[in-house]
Amino acid sequence: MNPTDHDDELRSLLDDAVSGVEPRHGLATIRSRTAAPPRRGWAWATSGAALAVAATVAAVLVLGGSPRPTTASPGPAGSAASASASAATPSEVSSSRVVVEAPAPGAILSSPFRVSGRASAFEANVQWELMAGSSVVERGFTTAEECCTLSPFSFQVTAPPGDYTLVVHDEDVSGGEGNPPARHSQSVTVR
Amino acid sequence: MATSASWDADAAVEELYAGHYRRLVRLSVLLVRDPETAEEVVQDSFVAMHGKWRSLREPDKALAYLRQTVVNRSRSVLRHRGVQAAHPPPVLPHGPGADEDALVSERRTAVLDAMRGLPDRQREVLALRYYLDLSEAEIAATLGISRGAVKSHASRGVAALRSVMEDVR
Repeated sequence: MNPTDHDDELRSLLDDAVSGVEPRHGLATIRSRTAAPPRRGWAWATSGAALAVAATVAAVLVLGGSPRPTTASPGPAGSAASASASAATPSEVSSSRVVVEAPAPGAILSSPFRVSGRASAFEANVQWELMAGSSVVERGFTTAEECCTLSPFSFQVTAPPGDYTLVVHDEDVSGGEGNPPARHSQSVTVR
Repeated sequence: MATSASWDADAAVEELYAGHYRRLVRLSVLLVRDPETAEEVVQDSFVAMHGKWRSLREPDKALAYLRQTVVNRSRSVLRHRGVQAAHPPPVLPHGPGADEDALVSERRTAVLDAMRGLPDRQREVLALRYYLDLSEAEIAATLGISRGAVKSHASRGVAALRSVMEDVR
C-alpha cells in the first residue's frame, strides 16, 4: 500500500465512524444564547460575551487602586458594571499571564503605535481595548505564537490624540467558574 | 464572498451554522466520542464566535476560529470528564439496515474507541487531517503547534490507530 491508499483508508474510516451522527436543533439554542439585549451603544450590543468583557473592564477600573487585581472576578455582568459608578483613575494593573513589554506605562506615543509583550492565553487569543474613560475607542485581538504558555504577541493600535487606558487580556471561557481572565491595564497618551 | 462585508454577528452565526454545524459536531464526536457532548461543545463555540464577531468579521476567520474553539473545548471537556473515560457512553445511533448493522456499528465503535485512546494531540491531528482535510499548515495554526510537531503527531497517531484497527478487520 502506498501512502495515498493509507490516507484514503483513514479518511473513509473516520468519515464513516461519524456518518451516523445527525445533530439536532442547535440553531435555536445558539440564537437564544446570543440574543442581544436592547441596544444602548455598540460596545454593549454584540452579545452576552461582550457584556461580560465590558463588565470585566469596568471591574478592572474599580480595582485600579487595589493591590489584588488578579483576583478580580467578573461576576454577574450587571453587578460588576453597576459597581463602576465610583471608578477611580485608571492605574497600572498587571497579571503574570499577560505581560506588556512595550510601550511603557504612561508612554507618550504617536499613532499608530505597536504594543508587544507575552501572554499565556486560552487558545492563544489575546484581546485588547483602548479605553477613553469608560468607553472603548478601539478594540481588537491577536494571537500569541503559542497557546497556554507565555508566548510573544504584538498588535498595532491606531487612535486619535488623547489619554487612554490600554487593556490587554485573554478571554474568560469558563463563564466565571474558573480563574478570572488574565489582564494588563496601563495608561498611554497619543499626541 | 460578496455578502460577507455586510454580515453582522447574527447573520454570521446563521450562515456558518448552515454550512458547517454538522461537520463541526462530527469533528467533535471524533474527539470526545459522545454526540451530546459534541453538540454542546459546538454550540458553545458558535456562541463564542458570535461574541467575537467584531474582531473576526470575515467568514474565513470565523470558521478558523470555530474550528480552533471546537478542538480546544473538546480537549477541555475530556479533561474535566476524565473519570468517564473508563465507562464509554453507549454506541452511536446508526443508519437503517438490519444485517450489516451490527458490523458497521462495531466498526464505528472501534474507530471511536481507538481515537479516544490516543493522546490528545495525535487524536486532534488525525481528526483535522483526515476528517476535515486540513493542510499541515492549517493544522499547525489551529493547534498552535509547529508543522514539525503536526508531522510527528500524525505519524504516531496513524501508526497507533492502524494497529488498533488491524484487529477489527
